[in-house]
Amino acid sequence: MTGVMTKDLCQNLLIRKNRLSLILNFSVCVLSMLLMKNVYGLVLPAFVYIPFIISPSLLQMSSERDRISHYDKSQLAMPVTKREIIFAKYSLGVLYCLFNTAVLFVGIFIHTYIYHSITITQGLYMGGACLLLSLLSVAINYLSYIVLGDKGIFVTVGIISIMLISYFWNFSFLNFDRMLETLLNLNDYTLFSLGGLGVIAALFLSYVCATVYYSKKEIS
Amino acid sequence: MSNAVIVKNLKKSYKDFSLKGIDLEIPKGSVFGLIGENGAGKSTLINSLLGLTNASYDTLNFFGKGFNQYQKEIKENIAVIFDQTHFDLEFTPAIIAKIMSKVYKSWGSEKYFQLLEEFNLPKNKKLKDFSRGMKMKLEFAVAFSHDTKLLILDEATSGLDPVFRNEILDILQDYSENEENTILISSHITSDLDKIADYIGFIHEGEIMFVKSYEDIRENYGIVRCGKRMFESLHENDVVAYREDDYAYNILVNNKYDIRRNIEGLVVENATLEDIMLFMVKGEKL
Repeated sequence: MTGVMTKDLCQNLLIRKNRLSLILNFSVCVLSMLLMKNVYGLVLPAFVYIPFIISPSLLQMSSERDRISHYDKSQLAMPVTKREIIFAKYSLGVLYCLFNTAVLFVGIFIHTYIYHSITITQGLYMGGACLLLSLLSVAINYLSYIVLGDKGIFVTVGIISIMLISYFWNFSFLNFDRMLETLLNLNDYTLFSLGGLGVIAALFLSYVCATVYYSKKEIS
Repeated sequence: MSNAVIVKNLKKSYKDFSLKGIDLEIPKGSVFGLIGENGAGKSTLINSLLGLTNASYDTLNFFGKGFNQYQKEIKENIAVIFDQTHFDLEFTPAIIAKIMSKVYKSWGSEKYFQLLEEFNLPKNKKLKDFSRGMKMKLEFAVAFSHDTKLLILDEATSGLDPVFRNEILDILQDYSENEENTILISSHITSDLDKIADYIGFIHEGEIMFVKSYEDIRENYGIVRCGKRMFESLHENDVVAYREDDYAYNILVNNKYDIRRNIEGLVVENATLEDIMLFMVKGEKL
């Protein structure tokens, strides 16, 4: 199982094109957090960039590479079961979400204690929401990449488009400022608990569907 | 002699092709050549053995262990080389070593780098800059750097030039010298198998037509070229298949020494695996 994770990490970190893409993604995130000294500097990375662009990118890049080299065929001749392959990919996805959220928290602390653009409570909510959205994104995107291969990118693009459209639509016409303020001032642990349970259920369902699909998949 | 692989009643159906209840036993320590024309079912059989395709079977044992129950343990001792490398072409052999060290418990990096040196493969060059032969050699280096007891080659030598093919055959010969090591090699380049195979299994339209020792084939199979009268005088049991051309009958026989002894003046040539394959596929039966 660690072999599957190592291979995916090598494809993302050691192949120049993929490494540049990762660096670019994180640079956009960090620059947004550092240069925009108001709350919006965190909104874009926390609600759009990290969950819907960065989090699914590990599998997106490795799916593309594996499709080109037909790596599945060799991999299944190695001492690893189909179930373990899927489990390894989801585990890596979840770990990556945690890492990305940790990066966001650096920004949250900067905005809390240096820029004073948010309170620490608001920051924690934002970080928690980012993690939940990222995990939800993994649940949706990973299933689509495993079933559709690198065509799963269309699902990612679709979700990002919907997010961006709603972001700008709300911003321009629906008084996004107020909506965001309401969201950030929520003190409802129930909301997060329910959200958390929902995301875990989605992730589990996605994992089961991906495992069933991949177990029946014919590799030739 | 114990068997490295035992398959009983393996079936796999596609819309236009099926493996029809394959029974096969591959003796431990042997080189087993699987021959058959393109589309005969060689790769489907190998994919089914490895669980890449979902086939049904009554028994599938490797080294005396059931595949379903001990899949991971079994695959620790198997290496498969396909007709092309499936490693990412942006990887270098050094990166592959990092990955494989996490894949196989018995992975030996020292041995791997030693083999790279032996095969003249640069460890920090990307695979996309390797020739086809170099990629194949890399596959062998990977295969021999863990505890491989069964090496499976699926058309691995096709597309290689004769010099590289010979080098690969030398590598296989060295590997098969250890009686614990078994090789299953599928190929339609039968001349390769003529050099190294101990057993030959012939697959045609999804069915195993025969499994024989190479010695048996070499000693008993022959090709008779004769006229119609002589052809008609041959016993039905001696004729495996025949092909008729404008001037003569070409007959594949399965007991050439008896025929030579019994019919004076008859020329019986030795049959190569390619001849046997051609006659079995294209020839007519009595």
